[in-house]
Amino acid sequence: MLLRPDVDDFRAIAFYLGRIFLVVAFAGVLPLLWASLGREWGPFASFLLMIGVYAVAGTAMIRVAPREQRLDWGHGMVVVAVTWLVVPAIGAIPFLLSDHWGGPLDAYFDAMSGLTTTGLSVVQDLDHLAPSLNFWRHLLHFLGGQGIVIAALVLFAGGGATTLYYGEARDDLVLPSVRSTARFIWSAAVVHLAVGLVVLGTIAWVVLGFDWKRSLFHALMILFAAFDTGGFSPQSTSIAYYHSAVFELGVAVFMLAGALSFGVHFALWRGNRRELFRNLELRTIIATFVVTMTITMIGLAAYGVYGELTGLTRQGFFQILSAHSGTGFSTVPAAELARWGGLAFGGMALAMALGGMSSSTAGGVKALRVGLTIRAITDEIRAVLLPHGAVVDRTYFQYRPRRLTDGLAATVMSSSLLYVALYLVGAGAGIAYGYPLEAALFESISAGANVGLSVGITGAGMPVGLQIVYLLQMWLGRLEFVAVFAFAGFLWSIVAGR
Amino acid sequence: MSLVLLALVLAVSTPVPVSGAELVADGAAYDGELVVVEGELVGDYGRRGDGTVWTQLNDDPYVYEPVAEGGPLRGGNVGIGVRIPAELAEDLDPPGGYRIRGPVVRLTGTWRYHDPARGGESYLDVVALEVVEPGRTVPKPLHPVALVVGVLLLVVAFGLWRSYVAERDRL
Amino acid sequence: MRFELRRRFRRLVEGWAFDPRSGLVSFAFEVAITLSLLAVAVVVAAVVLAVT
Repeated sequence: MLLRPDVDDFRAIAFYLGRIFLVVAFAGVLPLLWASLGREWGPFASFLLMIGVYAVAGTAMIRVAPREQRLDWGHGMVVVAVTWLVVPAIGAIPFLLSDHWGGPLDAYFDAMSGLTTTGLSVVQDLDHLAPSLNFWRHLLHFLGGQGIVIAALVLFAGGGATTLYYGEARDDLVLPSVRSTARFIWSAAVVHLAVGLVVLGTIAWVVLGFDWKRSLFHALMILFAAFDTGGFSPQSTSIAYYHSAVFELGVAVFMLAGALSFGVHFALWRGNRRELFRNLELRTIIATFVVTMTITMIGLAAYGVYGELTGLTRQGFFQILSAHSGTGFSTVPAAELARWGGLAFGGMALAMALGGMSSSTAGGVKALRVGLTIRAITDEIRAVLLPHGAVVDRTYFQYRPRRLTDGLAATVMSSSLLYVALYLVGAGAGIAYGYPLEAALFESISAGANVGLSVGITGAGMPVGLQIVYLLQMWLGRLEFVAVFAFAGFLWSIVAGR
Repeated sequence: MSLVLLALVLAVSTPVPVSGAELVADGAAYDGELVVVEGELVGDYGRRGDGTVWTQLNDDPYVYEPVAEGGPLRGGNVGIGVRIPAELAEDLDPPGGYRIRGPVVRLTGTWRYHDPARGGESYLDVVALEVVEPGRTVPKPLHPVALVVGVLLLVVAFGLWRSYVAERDRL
Repeated sequence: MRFELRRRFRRLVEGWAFDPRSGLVSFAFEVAITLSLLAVAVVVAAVVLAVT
């Protein structure tokens, strides 16, 4: 029997949603300040309108639910699902007013792509976009990646916090309380931003020869997109704009940092080197990285795309790291990427599909699930080969020794299957719109795994139906299905519940 | 110096006129060829220690019809990387960006596709630069209605907040 | 109202027990991992080119 949600259920959801909207309204003050400093008055007005809408939505909701409410698991999931649907809708206002997006759907698409740290974009004439708007695009990566929900917990701590945290698909608490975990996540991000500004800003200023203001601008934009594995870039040619191996290497460090889970960050932070060698997930991702890179390089060399060592190493390494970490930067144009056929395509697609580590900002199936799936299969094989009645040791190491139970194996495999289904459904939609199989699959994986690499399907004037499919894929992939399913169940219970 | 270089190059071969879109779509076809491309310089002038300036040349509809001057939206930018000897890039107007239509230039140079010497980058190695149109500033709309509505909404939000605080304290 | 904000801010800052210097240590690790992966990439590329 389904229970129809009552007023208290809606109040509980409104209480938390309202607070999240207010946090985003405050975050919107940053691009507003940027616009006023840069005297970009058009964007300034549009940011003010956006902040106004967030503020009214937020205050109206907390007015409806003035008392703190008990938040159960389902409510938390609904809050997260609605947050990721509605925050980009309001955040799209400045895009829509800027003359750089074709309409409301295009603006929403980019805001969703930003918040889900995907990086696919339908922006037009990016090279003439106002810096404050570029800042807002990239800040959306940061807000989505670092979790606006976490910010809300820290600022307005209360009950039900853990539920929100899990709903956001960060399954591993590295510290005893959610609040201290959230603090750690933010301090790690802030330190990376600070160090990155110095490192990338210096490279841009000294090596690339940009003036110092533009050096800081580029460094900040690229950092938001790299550390949160987003993939937006301030210029239309992505990282190829910089024409510098040193800069690419600097970016690579932050893409890698973004793909590491916060558990590993915590181990690194404490100088715990042992964890690096024992951690199942880290070992898995390094293995899959090397495998997909090898496949891609064989493809590139066989097709003669890059026939000598430096080109093959530099381009292969950067593109695979970008794909595997779910960032989506590239140093080759989409038209060229589209011609990476055969094994190069296979390696890239596989890297994107597998994705980064769990409880990081990367998307995709995630290395923990890949590692556990492989373990479950090898354990099965060992059990068959060993004499009858022998016991297979099913422990694995992930911050502490754990046991791979049948229940865990089943959950892991069903989530992985859902990702595969998500990629295939998106690819089917692409094929239905007349795109070739390889391109349709590539773009679908890129959307579903929140990567952002493109072979040219995504862009202004793409079919509306396909755009909506990619939108849903970004949303589902980011929230790892569960929150979206809970939201769908909630909607259904409104209709069919008693 | 560059004129002598240009004369030498021209004596050997005549540059092929080509569009940015062609170079992006099929860069391999023009590898090592002397080409002429026209477009707008955008982004930054990266003045490097080796006496070269790196920037981006855009060859798309926005060069001639900026959106701010009523030009229609016609998709993404089409840009290629260009490397210009520093002495040719001394007196250029600021590169294109927000409110700025950068200088429109005609560049003659060798198209280097997946250059082994530069780790597989593709770019135009410029030997001659001719300014076709100087850069200019373009106006951008101000959205006064959004400003007014935004302020009004903030006033409403403030009222709701006050009422929320009163309600919370009453409970 | 002002008190309220100050209290919240203090609660936010308190217990922020992480030394930023450990952040630099973790950054050094990340640089090391990236460079080792790059080294692997060079070896893989060299082998691939030698074979094909």
